[in-house]
Amino acid sequence: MSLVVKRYIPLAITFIMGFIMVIATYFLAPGTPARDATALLTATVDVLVVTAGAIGLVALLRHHLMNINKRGRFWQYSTITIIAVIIYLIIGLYGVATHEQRYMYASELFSWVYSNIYVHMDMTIFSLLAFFIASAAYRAFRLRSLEASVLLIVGSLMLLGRAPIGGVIWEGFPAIAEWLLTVPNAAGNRAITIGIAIGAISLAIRQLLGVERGYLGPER
Amino acid sequence: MIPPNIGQLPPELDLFAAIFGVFATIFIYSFLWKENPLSRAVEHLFVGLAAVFTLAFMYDAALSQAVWGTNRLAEGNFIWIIPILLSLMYFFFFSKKYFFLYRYPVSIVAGVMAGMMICGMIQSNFLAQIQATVELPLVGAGVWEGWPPAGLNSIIMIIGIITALTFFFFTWEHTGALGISTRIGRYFLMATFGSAYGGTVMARMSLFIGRLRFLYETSYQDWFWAWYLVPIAAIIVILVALWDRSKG
Amino acid sequence: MNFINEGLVASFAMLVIVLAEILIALFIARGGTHVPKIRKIAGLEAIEEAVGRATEMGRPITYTTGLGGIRDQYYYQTVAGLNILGHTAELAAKYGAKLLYFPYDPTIMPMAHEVMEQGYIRAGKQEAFNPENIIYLGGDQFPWAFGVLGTTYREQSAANIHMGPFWAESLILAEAGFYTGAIQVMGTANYHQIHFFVVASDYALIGEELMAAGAYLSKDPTQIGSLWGADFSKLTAIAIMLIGVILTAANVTALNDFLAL
Repeated sequence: MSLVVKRYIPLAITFIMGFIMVIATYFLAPGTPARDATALLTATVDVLVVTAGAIGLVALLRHHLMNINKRGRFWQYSTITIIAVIIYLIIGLYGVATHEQRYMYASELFSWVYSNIYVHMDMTIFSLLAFFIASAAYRAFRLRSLEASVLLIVGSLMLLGRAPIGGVIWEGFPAIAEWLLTVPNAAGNRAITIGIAIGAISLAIRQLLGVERGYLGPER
Repeated sequence: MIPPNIGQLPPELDLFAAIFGVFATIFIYSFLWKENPLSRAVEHLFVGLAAVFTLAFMYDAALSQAVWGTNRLAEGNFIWIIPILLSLMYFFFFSKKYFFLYRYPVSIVAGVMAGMMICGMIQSNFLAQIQATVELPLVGAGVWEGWPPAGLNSIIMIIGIITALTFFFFTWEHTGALGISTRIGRYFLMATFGSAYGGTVMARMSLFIGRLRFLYETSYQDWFWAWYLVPIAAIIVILVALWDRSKG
Repeated sequence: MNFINEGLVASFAMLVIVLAEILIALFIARGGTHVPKIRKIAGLEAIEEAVGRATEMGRPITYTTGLGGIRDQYYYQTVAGLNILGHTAELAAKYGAKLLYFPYDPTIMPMAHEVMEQGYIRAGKQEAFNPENIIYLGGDQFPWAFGVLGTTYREQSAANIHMGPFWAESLILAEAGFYTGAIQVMGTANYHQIHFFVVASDYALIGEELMAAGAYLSKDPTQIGSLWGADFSKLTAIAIMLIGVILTAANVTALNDFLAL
């Protein structure tokens, strides 16, 4: 009995839901009431997972509170996280309490913090990639195999074709870059994409049949 | 959907945002030198804000879906209480005895997503790619003119797609003809990765230039310019890093 | 009225073919008539090496499953990443190494918890499993990536394993391992990021290799059968493309017309 409730019913639900979605896509014409009913299933996804956000927040708070409590490594920094969470949460809850439709993001201060504080950090971390892409490429130059050489030569040609300086050195570089992108790159990507489609379907089948280990796996 | 704002904020907050922006930018860049107390502080602040932002994002999405959407709870359609109740089952994860109940909302979501994924994969990843390959021109007017001719490109692409796809054969040994094919396929894959890498470099550089422009161009009421603070922030980074090192 | 929705006839035919191939091969392998051998996937073999090295050095292993949850269309990559997490947890438990996991989307936290715990149970060391090693860093791309970067650096991880859907943060994670001199094993099926992993990591799983990982690691005939079936599907794709190209060149449009149905 317990295995039925713990494993087989969730597995059956997953299977049935997956089946319904496939049937709806192929056999239920758009605009019919039956198709609209299955569209509601998709709409419930956002609602079904909403509490997970709270679970994440609780886990984060617990992790840092425990670190402070036992005076773990860098516990002082844990206080920064805790304070940030509390203040931002209060701002958000104030939004919920005062906004007519109870949205959290509706509080002007909440969205202000996002677009004036949060975004600065976001953009800066994103721009770290300018340094990382150069250092990773530099390290790649140490690779010594024919395959790696192909990668590096094609990469260098592509860079010369894309950077303004490449066109100044030789006007043929942009055309080569364009060709590399539309022919070999497109070919490789197409093969990868077809492989992914089949791999994902085969994974989904293993999951729906319950043969693959995972959260609904054979154990427990 | 962005809900309407409530309340009015004092304009002086813009000055605070600019000052914060400069310090945060320099502190984060200081990580490139070494991990230090300032980059660590920004990291912890950012993670805290992100956790609340994630919650807000998920909450707002669920609210707009379950309560304020067309024919939902706000219009008296009480069936939408069911997904909300199901969602609460996630919390059973904290229970030792009934932890498995969290699997119920998860199993619905996983099933819906699996079904949608299978259809999407077949349509846009499998069929559409085959269709595009089948239509590659090999003969016809102008196909073998110019350099490189379109016909030659087609042949290279067909060889590339097929050999690269054979690289993903898992249960047949890569020997003999298949071995040759997978080796050619690997070169195509490497060319794919090389061109993708080289093609991304400029886009990433422009992000850094964007940050430099922020530091250079941001101002407040003609008397404050953000770049005034760059040297100050840099000195703070150096002092704090030295202090951190002296502590061991 | 059409039986199958407009524009989806060829799509449905392809689905039937692929499903049939995978299911038939799966059941043949399950029955034991023929269990195919599976080719070596270097990236998956490298996980044991990475865990072993981390154990020797007495330093932890960093693991992430990318920016995926169960509520997005990339969830299949997340599931694949979780399967490899289970395997890594089992190895970490066996060797006695510390495994740090950083979930991105809070929706997968309970699953990750269970998968990790199962790994420890399989290794017979349930008591060694510490839920505190699952560290949530917010569900937003760059705070999460910066958190992983900083934590990896502070913990001086000796192994850096990333398996799942990744976007621009992929290179930040790869760089984290470089800072600490970690052995890096990474895999994704997001074709726009694979090249970063190929360049910056020691071992990379490319596209479909990631999804095959669960079956590969399990060594279970049924699961390997599904990979066998998937190979037939790829062969079918190659055959259709070759026949189609020849027919198009011969100006016969029947196949093109069917694919467009």
